[in-house]
Amino acid sequence: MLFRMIRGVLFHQKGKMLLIAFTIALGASLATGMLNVMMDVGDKVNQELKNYGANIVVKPKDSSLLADIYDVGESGEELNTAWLNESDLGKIKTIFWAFNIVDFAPLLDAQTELPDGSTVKLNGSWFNHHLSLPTGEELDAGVVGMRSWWDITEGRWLDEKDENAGEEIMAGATIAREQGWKAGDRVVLKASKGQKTVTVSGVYDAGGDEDEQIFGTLALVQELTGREGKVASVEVSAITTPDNELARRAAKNPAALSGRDYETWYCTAYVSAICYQIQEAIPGSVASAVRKVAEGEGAVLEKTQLLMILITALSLIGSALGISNLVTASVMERAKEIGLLKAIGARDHSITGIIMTEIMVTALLGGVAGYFLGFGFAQLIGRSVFGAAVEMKPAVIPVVAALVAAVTLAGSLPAIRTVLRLRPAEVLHGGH
Amino acid sequence: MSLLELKNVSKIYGDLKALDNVNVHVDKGEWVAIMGPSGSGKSTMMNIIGCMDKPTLGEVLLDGVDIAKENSKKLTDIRRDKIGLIFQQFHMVNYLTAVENVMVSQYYHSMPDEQEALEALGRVGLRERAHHLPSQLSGGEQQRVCVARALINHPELILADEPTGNLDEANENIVLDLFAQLHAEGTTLIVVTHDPEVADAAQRTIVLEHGKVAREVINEHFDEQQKLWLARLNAENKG
Amino acid sequence: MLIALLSIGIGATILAGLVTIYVDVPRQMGAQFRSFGANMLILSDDEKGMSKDQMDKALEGIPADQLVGAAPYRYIRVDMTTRQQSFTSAGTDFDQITKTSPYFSVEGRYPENPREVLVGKEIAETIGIREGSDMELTWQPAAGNAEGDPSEDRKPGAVLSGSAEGWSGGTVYVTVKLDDSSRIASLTIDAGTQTPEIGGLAQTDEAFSRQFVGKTLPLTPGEDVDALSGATITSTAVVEALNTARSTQDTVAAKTVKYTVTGILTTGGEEESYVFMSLEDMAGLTGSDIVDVAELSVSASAEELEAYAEQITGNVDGVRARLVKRVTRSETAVLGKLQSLVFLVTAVVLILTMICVSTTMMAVVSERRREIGLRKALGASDGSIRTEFLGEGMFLGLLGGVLGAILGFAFAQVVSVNVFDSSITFQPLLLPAAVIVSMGVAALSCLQPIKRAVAIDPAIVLKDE
Repeated sequence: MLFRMIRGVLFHQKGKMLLIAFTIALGASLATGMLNVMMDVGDKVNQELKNYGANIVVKPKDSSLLADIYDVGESGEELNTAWLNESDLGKIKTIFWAFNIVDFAPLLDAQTELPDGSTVKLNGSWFNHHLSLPTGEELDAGVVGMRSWWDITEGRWLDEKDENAGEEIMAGATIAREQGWKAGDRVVLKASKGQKTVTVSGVYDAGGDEDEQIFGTLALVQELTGREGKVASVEVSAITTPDNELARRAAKNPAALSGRDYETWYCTAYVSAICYQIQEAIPGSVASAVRKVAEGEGAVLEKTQLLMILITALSLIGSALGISNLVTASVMERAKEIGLLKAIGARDHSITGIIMTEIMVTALLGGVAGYFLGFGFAQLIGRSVFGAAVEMKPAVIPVVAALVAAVTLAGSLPAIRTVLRLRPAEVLHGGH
Repeated sequence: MSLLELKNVSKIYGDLKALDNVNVHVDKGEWVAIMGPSGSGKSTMMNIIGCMDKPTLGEVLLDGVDIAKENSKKLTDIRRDKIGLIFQQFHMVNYLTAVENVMVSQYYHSMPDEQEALEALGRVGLRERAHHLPSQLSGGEQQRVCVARALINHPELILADEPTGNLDEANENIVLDLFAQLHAEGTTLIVVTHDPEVADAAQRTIVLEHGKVAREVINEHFDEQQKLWLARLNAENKG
Repeated sequence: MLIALLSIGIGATILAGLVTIYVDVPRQMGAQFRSFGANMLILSDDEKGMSKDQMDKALEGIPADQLVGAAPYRYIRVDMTTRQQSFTSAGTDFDQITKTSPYFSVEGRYPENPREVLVGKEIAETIGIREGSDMELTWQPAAGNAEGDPSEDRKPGAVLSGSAEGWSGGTVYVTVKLDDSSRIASLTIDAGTQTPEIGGLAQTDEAFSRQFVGKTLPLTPGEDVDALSGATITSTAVVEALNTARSTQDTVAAKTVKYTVTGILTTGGEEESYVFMSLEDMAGLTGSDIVDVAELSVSASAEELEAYAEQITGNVDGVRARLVKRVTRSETAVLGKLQSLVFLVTAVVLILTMICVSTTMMAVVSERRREIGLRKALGASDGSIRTEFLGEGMFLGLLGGVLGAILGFAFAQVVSVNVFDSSITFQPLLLPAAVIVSMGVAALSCLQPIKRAVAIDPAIVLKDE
């Protein structure tokens, strides 16, 4: 009988039920969409922040200082007494957080002399160095990715796949202008262990002191300075989790952490954890966070997530209120029917049960439809803003289900109770 | 034997006395009409007898049990077990079919039985309309379904509030015939009405005015009426 | 009625709140991006640097409420003679640094008093210096006139000073006095950065020094001069310094000052190899308070920044402004995405909420079909019913809109304070906008159900339960 009653409501009150289901679907879609976006936005924004370049720099443990911001002085080649091995570079992609390493580029520099006697700093690095990792991941690492803000004003990027790559350089806008270089020009570079004639493949505008320098392949600089197989430092761009208290404590001294804290720290993508793991992977190295980038990323990420959380909270509240509002209205509207059932002899709990079941079935239908709709909204947002799909976070399902259930209950139970308290006489007798 | 007794029952709303010290007595198997103009208190009395309301003062004994003292839950039980209700505004659950509406009443009493429900519909002449929704039935037909619903559980007391108020003459006669049938079977009938014709069909009429019992009128012709009705029924059956 | 009002109120709250946030996000989030540091530089056209006045004049081009910080920098080479090290020292304004480079991490404290310095981590680790240690730093002026031939300065009685790179990158300084015949009368050699037992002897070994006296510049090593045994490079440097020595008349004397280290700086960048001191201290050390470059942190859009840079370069003599592309480019990219995100989110939420309000309104009006039918039965005209219900709907819209707008602002304020530690900029236009939208949505959603309700035959409506 119960089943017949429920079926009766659903089939013969289609219009009303559909309206309720529709509103619940809207509310659920809002909740789903927002929750999905909120949970994913951190990753998306993190990806965008990689535009800023390296947030980690790896150096040999015993290297001493050099290199200035505004070109006040000499290059590091005489003073560096320690090196990293080029062959160890691949190990960066074997650490626990390998997946978070988005890009990296080795650096080796040399002071080179130009034909007119002036000196210019030559940086050797990877450009689009292809790596095929044992995990199956394919990655192009190097300057092309790490210098997203460079504008190529002339010519083209140096392409490592080109067989002549080792005899090409890219020139900064300032030095190119001073020397009158154009793409295709040939230049003679002299360095401590040799000289070479190279072709300018392109000119870049970096908007910084790199405009006064030139870039070439790692092999080129190694050849010119007799430092085959060596690298002075590595820039790394990693997706990180903003620092918190634990991360800061760990950064000072990982050994001082308790066993459980250590695991938590190691298994979270804090900058300090990733640096620690890189040091473990590359012998003789010390990795540190480039605070300028890492702190900046942290600030932006944190605020973005906080903002999204609050907006999501507002939407959830709005959604909840909207659903419970309508559900209450629909129950009040059934006052006569409830009064009738009571007059016929139904017990309170029986009536409550039937109405609740009907509402819950409707809520289920609405909720499921809403979930898919909401997921669609999330994808719309993800693709429009970030050009990438929003990841399906399974955690959203139970949350939305709980929300819809709770809100539906909260909207219907008090209303049913109120109606049940009314005496059937009041409800049934109209118009005497 | 007494089935229903109202002893010094009053229903007071502030200054207004809807019922004022009313005494009524109904025996088992009696067919009683309660008559009075609007505002006379008959609806109030109907509600109290139907366990849908409680008096402010007095006792209401149904089969010896004072229902004025019972709580809401118990009243529901009593209502369900002993009383069949027929309202003026034929309240049906508008998303259930005719037979399902009857079955709802069964459901809360014991167990839904479609066969029995169909038979009940047959008694009121609506067997063929069993699977129609209320929106597909005329006013008269809806009322007859309500009657079927009221008697499906074989209640001791049938309480009808203006059962023919919204019906045309043909349907009114059908309903009154049913009542005659029920009376013949021994069911106690209390019919609240303002229509003298409907009151005349009963054995006794209690007239209410301003919340008090003004007078009681005995129907001298009742036995004759019953005989006539029986004869007509036999004729119809044979023919 | 309450239900309809509640529904409209919720919709209006969300509308007002989200739109306020959307409009304010660029400003609020933009401020977060200042954590990345300077996004504009002011450089001197002159190699010698710019004056404080020039820098101040350039700064006038930027509105005060957008200028987060402006840190002047001057870079000089200093020597730490006791450790044979030389490195770069940066003179700056520490108050401004905390604003332009908020990512600086200092163990200890920033210098507050005269003769206090902040030392970069690399330096501290390499030479083993800690908080509280003392550092003696020497500054040597560059040769007075870089142009022309050194021989021009070799006049009778001239005092010349010169320097040359010696062993291990350290500099060897000489000061020489010429006699009336333009021959070397006396000289002092500062080889403090050279290995004490070897090259350092050039400073102290009297025999070595004496051999120069009476000679005429330029000298040839090996021929005119004997090198110190085992210190060929230093000796060669001394000769080169003499040969390139220029007149000291325009130059300032070298100076050595003792400083106390108050903190160690960690940044993960090049700053870790500098010693930072206040500009006043640097002026005290070098005799001038010129500035090489000013790093600016400006909270403004990319277009505004470019405009400021152009204006400063054009209007202020001797300086030019340049954007730090790495910072501005990335900021534009990320901030742009964030705004798109908030915009889309706002749009989706708004649309859904408005639909919700609509359906609720529709349900509520449908509910009153009986009432409408009754009125019609009593003789009310279709038009008057429509007007009345529409009017009610719009009134609810008005009420709900006002309530919602207020609540929405309150919410936006809560968000702003908790997320960004600052207040929202109140958008006065939003209040009437929210009210109008609420009224519009309420009215529009009433239209259809009223139309349908009015169209039905009252008898049917009244009969139906």
